[in-house]
Amino acid sequence: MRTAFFQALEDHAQSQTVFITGDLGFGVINGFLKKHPEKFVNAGVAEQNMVGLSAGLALAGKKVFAYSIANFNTLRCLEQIRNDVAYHKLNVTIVSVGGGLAYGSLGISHHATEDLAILRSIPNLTVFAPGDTKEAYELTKRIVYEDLGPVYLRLGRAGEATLHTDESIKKIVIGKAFPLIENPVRKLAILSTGGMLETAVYVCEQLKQQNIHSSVFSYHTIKPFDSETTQRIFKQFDFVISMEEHSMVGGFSSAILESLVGSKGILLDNYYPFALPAAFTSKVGDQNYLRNLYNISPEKILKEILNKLKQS
Amino acid sequence: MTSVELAKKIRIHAVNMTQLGKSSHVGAVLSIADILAVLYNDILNIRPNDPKWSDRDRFILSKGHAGAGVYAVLAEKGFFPVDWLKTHYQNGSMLSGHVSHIGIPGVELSTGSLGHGLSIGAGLALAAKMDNKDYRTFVLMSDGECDEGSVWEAILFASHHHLNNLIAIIDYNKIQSLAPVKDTINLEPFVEKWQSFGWAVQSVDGHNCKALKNALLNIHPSNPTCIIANTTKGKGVSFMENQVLWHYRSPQGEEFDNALKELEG
Repeated sequence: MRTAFFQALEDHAQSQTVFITGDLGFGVINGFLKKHPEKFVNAGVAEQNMVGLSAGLALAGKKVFAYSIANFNTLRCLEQIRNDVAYHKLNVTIVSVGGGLAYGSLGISHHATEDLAILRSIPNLTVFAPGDTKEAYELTKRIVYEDLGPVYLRLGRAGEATLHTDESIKKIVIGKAFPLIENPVRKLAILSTGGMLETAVYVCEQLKQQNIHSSVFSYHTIKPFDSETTQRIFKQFDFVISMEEHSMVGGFSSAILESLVGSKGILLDNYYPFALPAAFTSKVGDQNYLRNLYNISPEKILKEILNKLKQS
Repeated sequence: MTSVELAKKIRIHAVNMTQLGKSSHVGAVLSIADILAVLYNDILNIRPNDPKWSDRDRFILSKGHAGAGVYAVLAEKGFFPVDWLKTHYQNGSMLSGHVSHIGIPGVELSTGSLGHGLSIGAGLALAAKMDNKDYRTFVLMSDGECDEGSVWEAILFASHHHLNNLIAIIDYNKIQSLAPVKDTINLEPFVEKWQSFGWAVQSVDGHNCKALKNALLNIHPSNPTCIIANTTKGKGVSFMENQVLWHYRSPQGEEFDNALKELEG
């Protein structure tokens, strides 16, 4: 996803585009830097100033991408995002790489596991969590060309799958969940956000081999949240599961539940959210190790779904 | 109107507004009245009838708690009717205690949390460089605000990029929220600190309009400029001067009458 983001920026940067980094991006910024050196700013290891600078640049008409790892350009400078970028409705995109446990072994400082909860609560901020490389590329492109105002773009790291086709990616709509795999039998809906999309597709394929019909929806936009599709899914499907690499508190599953309030004819008995516990990990491990530890690995999720379906 | 006359009007508005709104920070507004007057009368290249003119100089009040002063000077310069000032701090008003830009022509930036303005000013200054524009960005800060780490991040960045179109003005009244600056987090040697960070520094009497104007007309050709304006908190009202109390207290009753008498006298 990180590579897709930089490729999109390199391919589509406009005269007003500015990329500003908190001294990160070694090895991945070279293409952009070579093509657009005049649009590149290194703010140094100073994220509060970086977001303040971004606000100033945007006040002067620039469209700014402010880039760093995980929590550094979100939590460290949250007030600059809230007061300066969001309140003033400025064209600044906070680009966070390493959403969830992507930097697993580096420790909890690098685990972005509360960011969706915190950022989506800020008014005026659009929140994207692309699910594959194509969504990351496409959303970046749209931010460049459209006036979306303040955006939080949560990327994975590297090595994520490409799950969309060239045709399907053209159909995604900002603010709408995208049905990546549609099964006419409304048995199980798998709702996924961010880098869990690959797991969602894997689980769907495994279930298919056992004649269990499921559909996969990619929620690349967390805010504005697609309440309409979500309510429809809960009404139409027998079972719903959600997947996120984020704390159970305040993230994707919370957004889903919020979207259902007041909607008639919905029962939550058959809704199973897969998310991280609201806890700091006590063990060292890479992304896959930690996903397994917290029961959101493909195998663990598949096993759990089969158990739930059996019990029902 | 001279800047001295404008400063007097700002002070009278400040006392009236904080009385009507029963609000704090009159001492902070009195402290910067002369700086605001000189900027808006003699320095800033702005158009009250076209507040969004793209080549205008930008002014940011980073010490947002003194927002009443900005509202007052903007009203006096014709950005909006002076009558609006009566709504300051009132329920349903646009004029919040800390300066807000929404619905108020001429306010570039909403502030209130300290340590934000200089970074944003640096961003505006950098954008002007990128676009080959001549406008300048002035950021008025408090001394206590310099406790914020983000201020020093911006100071480093601005000098590294030689933002000679960025001017920081420090309202150095030497009193912060609870006690004198020197007893809270000492800033001295203040001039030398800024100089060692690569800024051109001028230390002036922040209540001498001529000195302020002279300093603001002599900004450094290649480096960012810092003007340390030595001020008195509560300036112009004898019983408010140098008193921490008047960071918070709203002038009412006899105190209000006496303050106005002193300012109008």
